[in-house]
Amino acid sequence: MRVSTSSGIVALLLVCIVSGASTAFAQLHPPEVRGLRGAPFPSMNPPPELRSFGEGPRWDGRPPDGIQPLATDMFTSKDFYKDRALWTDVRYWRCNSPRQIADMRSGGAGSSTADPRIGANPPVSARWGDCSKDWPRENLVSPYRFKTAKEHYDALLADARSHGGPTKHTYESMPKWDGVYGEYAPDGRRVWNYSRANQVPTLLSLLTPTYQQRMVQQIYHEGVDAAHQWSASYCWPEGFMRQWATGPKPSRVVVTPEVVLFMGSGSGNMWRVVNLGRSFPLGSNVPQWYGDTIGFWDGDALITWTANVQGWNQHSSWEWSDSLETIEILTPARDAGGKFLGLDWETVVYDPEALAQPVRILWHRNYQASWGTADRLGWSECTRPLYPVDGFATPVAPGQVIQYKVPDMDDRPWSKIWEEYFEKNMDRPKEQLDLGFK
Amino acid sequence: MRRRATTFLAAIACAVLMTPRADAHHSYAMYDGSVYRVFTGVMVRVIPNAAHFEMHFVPLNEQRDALVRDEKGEPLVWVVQMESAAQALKDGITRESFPQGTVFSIGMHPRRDGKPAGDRGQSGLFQCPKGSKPAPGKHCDSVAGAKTFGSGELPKEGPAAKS
Repeated sequence: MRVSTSSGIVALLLVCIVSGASTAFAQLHPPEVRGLRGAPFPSMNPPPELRSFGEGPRWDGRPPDGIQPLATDMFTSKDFYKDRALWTDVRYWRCNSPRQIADMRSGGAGSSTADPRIGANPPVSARWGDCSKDWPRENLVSPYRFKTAKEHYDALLADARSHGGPTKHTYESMPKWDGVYGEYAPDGRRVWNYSRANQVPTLLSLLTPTYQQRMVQQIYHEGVDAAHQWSASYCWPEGFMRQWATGPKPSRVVVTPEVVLFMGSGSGNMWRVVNLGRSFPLGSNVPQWYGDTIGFWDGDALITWTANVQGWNQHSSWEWSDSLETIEILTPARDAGGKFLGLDWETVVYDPEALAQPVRILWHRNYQASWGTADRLGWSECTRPLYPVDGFATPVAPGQVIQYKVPDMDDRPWSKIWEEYFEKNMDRPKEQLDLGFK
Repeated sequence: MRRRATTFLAAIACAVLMTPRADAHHSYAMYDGSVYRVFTGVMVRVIPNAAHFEMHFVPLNEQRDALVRDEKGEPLVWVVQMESAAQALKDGITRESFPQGTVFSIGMHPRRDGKPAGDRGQSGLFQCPKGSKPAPGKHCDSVAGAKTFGSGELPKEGPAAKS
């Protein structure tokens, strides 16, 4: 009896392991169409996060063994603009990822901590991250040959046509993806766009010089000045790229023969409409916060092209321009028994203004429930912002009077706050408004 | 019975005619609709807000050879609030057609409090050809090859004509 019970447990464990393994195998391994989509990653995806080199006060400012600190790093510098030559050295950032630096004084967004990593004598006592870890750059850049989203989309469309596509689905034949989705984060690993997996220089290497400076400006003022200008704090829009971090994500899907809808709510709302079988332009060229999207089916793969996106930023990460465009390929993941697990979602980001070369993100949205069984889809309207008071996002009680400078929403308002309050003694490269008249 | 129907139809027609444009989303109470100011200026940027399109510009001086500046010497930016983005785009007003540095002329009902902003009202919008500017005291509608966007003429500076 004892033996049979043990055998049963072992058998059950084996079943669990096998089924777990098949689940894990099915996700984040979209079918490869060589040179076009589904290219495998050179190493583990999603990546593990960079960790602190040590926890607790005794690690304040203490470098890992064998690491020679720089004479000046971001936590001792008074002017990061002058340190441009050092930005490519992981020691300038004390081997912290951008998100680690953003969280130096907190336990993460929305939580405080009794043991802040900035240490007892901020900012010079900031702790170090693990200098031996970094997610390889080749995992970040696009493995495809295309220079523009249009080229990539045209090639995907030509491939679909070569085997009789694009597929015209009817209500009967269309993929049954309708439902509620979460983010697949095995062992807490999330896509790299959370800026938790990389050393800062690796991410900077993806950017053009102007956008490198913009990212450094953000990291510096979050880490040194604790002056986080996060969009949601001010009821500003979250912006397109925040879908792949902690902004509102495509958590709901609706599929029809004419459109596919992605919706979500969180620190704002997002909805995207994939217009099937259509061409650009879809309307006026007013940039949209989530862009305009066209797409087609290639069997049960949904292939989309998004353009006309409003340039913006996301905290702890890189800014993007109005030139940003994406190619996204969604393919269903199933277990060995054919059960639908969710969507492998491959995104190639093209932005010739901000990115030195196209980048790629692969995540998995795991199916959780049908619309009919899930809670309602909430709608968030941000009506109680914090306000920038002396450069810091500050809660203000109703009735309290503050001095408020109206931000220019088309001119990187987060940057203007930093420049006004924290860069008076810095030698910032000048950007003059040149209207052609004296 | 017939008179009742006629009255009813008239009431409906009146209601339709009196209904504000469906694309109006802001009160315009802050603007002084009894006067027009007319500017020739240089585009800083177009802001295609969905509800009300905005153009941000710096006026040129009377000689049309320099920007108007504030007491600190900085370019004085005026904001003109316009129709909906959809209507503006129908008229061809876009970021591309009005890039930074474009010289144009427009009239506006100014804010009552004197702040540098106004609403377009029924003013025409005239763009000077690239690289050109009006003669001193003149506006873009006087420049050969000027382009107009949407309907309307440049109003006269001063009291607005009663409609």
